Amino acid sequence: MTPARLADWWLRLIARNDLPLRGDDTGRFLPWVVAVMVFLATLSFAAALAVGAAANRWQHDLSGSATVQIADTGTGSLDARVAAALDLLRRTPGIRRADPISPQAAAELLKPWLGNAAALADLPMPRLIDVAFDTYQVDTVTLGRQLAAAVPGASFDDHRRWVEGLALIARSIMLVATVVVVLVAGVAALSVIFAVRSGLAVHRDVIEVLHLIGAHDDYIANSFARHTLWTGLRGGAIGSLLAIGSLIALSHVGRDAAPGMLPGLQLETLDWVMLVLIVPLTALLAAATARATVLRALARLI
Amino acid sequence: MVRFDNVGMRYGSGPEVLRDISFALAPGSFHFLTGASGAGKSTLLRLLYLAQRPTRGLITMFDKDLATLPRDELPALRRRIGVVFQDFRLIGHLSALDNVALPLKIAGARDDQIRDHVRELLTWVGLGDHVDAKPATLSGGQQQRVALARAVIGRPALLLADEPTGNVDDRIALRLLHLFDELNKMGTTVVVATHNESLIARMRHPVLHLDKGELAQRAAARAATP
Repeated sequence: MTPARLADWWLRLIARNDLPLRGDDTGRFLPWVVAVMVFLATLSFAAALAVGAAANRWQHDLSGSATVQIADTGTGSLDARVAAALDLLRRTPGIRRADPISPQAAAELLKPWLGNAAALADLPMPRLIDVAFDTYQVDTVTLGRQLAAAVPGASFDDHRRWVEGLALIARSIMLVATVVVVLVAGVAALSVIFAVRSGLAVHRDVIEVLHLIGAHDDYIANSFARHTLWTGLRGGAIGSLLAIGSLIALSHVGRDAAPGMLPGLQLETLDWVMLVLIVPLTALLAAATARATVLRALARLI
Repeated sequence: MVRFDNVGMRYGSGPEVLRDISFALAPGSFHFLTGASGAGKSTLLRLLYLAQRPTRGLITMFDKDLATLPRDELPALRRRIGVVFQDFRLIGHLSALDNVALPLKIAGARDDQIRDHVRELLTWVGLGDHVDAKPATLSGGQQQRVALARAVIGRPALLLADEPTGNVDDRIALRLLHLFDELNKMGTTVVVATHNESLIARMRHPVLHLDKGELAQRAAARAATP
């Protein structure tokens, strides 16, 4: 688009409307409806982005690693069984590292759930070995069987259950968020249709005059679309500001109230850009809906 | 320019309000359209300014057959027709200048091309000092002249006026008709629907007379070009 065409488009966009849409009651509540819709859509989309990012992080951390747990069965030396397991693991091709986790470190990990480490001394705590794969080609099922056969009480957890669970949760949340965004867009579009239909009824005389002096349907439809675009941008900006403010507040509350327990709202710059883009997208959707509604109504005139 | 052949018109399933209307308007002609209330004058005008399509018969305007004309070609045809509505139908939130400028704006003219032309025309109809006035602040006669200016700003080939003298005294009515006469002399085809027999007698233009939805033979013979 050349600067001259851009300037012409802008002048037409901000030009006074031939239809007195700004001063009537038909769309008075539309900015607030759009504000609420954008607020909900932004929160849903942010939740989906945050959960998706957290799931990816967890999945990345857990993939390529495994935990061997050697239960305290009360028979035989636990240290000897840990050494046997380490020996087997370190001889297995594709395993980069196999490090035992000390009882003190394990107790620290359990502290948020079970309390003071001193009280854990009486519990039959299993011993843990942290395993890192060099490649993803390790046959974890066979390795688990070998470990169980060679080391009594040993079990091998390659985190697959967790990874699959996390992926399912992330997919579910993203699906729900998508449904919410689609519903919100649908409700916004319906609100626009009702407002535009009211506007068409209220301004029927003016529309007929414009029609009779040679206005194309596009001319009248674009008047409604321009007005609705501004309404959408205004309402959307309010909803977006409220939603982004809420998200920032939530992230502070989550971080301060339960540090380490919640994944927190970790959004990248691109995520924030996408959240802000909801406003113009909603406004464009509203304008397109208004235009289509008017064109459909005018098609009934000769 | 305009030809009606056996045109009939009914609204919904009601009776025919126009029956077997046939006439032709030559380019540059001036006709009065008369008839009692309910005779079908407004319906005939609505057909002429393309607000309705006939339920039967053929209408040809500017060499286009309206029955086969695609809908998206109607706006271009309407821009060649100027209409002064009986109730003026000015747009209340726009100034006199913006009301008159509307047909040019709709036709896609640039603002700088529009303004001088509109001011000039408003001065011609005697409203040079009221360009920024809203319709509600103007008298009936002034509103009528704004409506006339809006109707002629696009230099229409056909000018239609529905009872333009109905709301004004005889002096202003005569002045308005002289304005129509001037436009007619510049080549515009004019049709004026009116009840005012004294004005019709003064102007000596042919008359299309409607009687109960039919074009009366006497008036049709006098008025229309066959």
